[in-house]
Amino acid sequence: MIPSVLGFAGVEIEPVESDPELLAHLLRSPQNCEMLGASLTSTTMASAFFERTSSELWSSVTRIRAARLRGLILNADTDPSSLNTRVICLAEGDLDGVAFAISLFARHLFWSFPLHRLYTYLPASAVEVAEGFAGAGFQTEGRLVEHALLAGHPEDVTVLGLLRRDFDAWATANAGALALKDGA
Amino acid sequence: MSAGRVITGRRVELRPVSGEDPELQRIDEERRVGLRTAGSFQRSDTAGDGLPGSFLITDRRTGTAIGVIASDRPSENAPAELTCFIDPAVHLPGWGLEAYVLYARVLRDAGETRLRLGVLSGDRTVRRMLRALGQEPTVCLREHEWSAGQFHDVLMYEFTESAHDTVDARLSRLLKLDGDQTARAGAS
Repeated sequence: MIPSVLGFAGVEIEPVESDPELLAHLLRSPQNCEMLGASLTSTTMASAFFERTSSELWSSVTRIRAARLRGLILNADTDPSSLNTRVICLAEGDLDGVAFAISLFARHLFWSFPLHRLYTYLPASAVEVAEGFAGAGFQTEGRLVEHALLAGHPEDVTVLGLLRRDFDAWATANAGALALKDGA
Repeated sequence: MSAGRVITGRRVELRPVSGEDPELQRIDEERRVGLRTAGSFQRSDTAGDGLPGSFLITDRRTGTAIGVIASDRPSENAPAELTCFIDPAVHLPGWGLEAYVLYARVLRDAGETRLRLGVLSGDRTVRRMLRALGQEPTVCLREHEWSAGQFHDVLMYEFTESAHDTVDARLSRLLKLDGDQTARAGAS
């Protein structure tokens, strides 16, 4: 759990224990459903999801706070033996700021847990979110053919990954305050 | 559906397993310290999603367990992802490939037309073999797997139906496996 609000370039992320209404709203988008790997059609199901996620190892759920952007960023599928976890970003609005939110969340994960690698799976059509991950230092690692089913149609999925050392190099070059070596 | 039956090849036999199997637990222990595995090893011990579950790979001659092979479907539309571990201390060349061919045929029998295979970047033998068969990875998960004291890239290979047929035919010739080896073994 993030101890407090983290902010950068006008975008903030804050810890959230539960916000089933926002999650259920965001999951009206088929793209977001695919990113989460779940279709939670009611706030009850969304509440159960928060409970389950918050009990997982090295997991965090945060809400994005920005002028024209809202959403949730969380991590799941953590593999403690290989020190990796999957980052999921469900957002709507002006996605220009989503890279800042993702970089804050990545910084939090690397700072708080002994993770070596973050990764995400995105439907190929989620171009703006993919640009947000790339803007936070994630590198494209390839494409899984027809991995997803969006509104009944098969779609490729792009895989992006971020290693701890990549993040530190990215932060040093782009956002010194977030660098792990010099931060805090 | 082939779940629950023993699959017999020339050198190896595939035996369906449950999580309580002591041989499986021993192999799992070897897997934690060994190199020859790939991807996040998801064992599906019960047949779910139409997949045939996990099989112990055994030496057909002695019955000794030498590895485990399994599949998983990471999302609704994804192909079956196949993972295989062979204990490097006891295996002989070709055993892993034979286990792959037999298991892939079981998946095909179960209606899986596309397969995905995760290979550790350090597994040069399998990578060379796949390259020789015209297969290139579509994804490189960088430093995704910790094994044998270091991080390894995981390379994901996608087999369409026609690519699977090509791989099956060439490996069957190489390993001198009959095309109907699985079918004949079904009665065992």
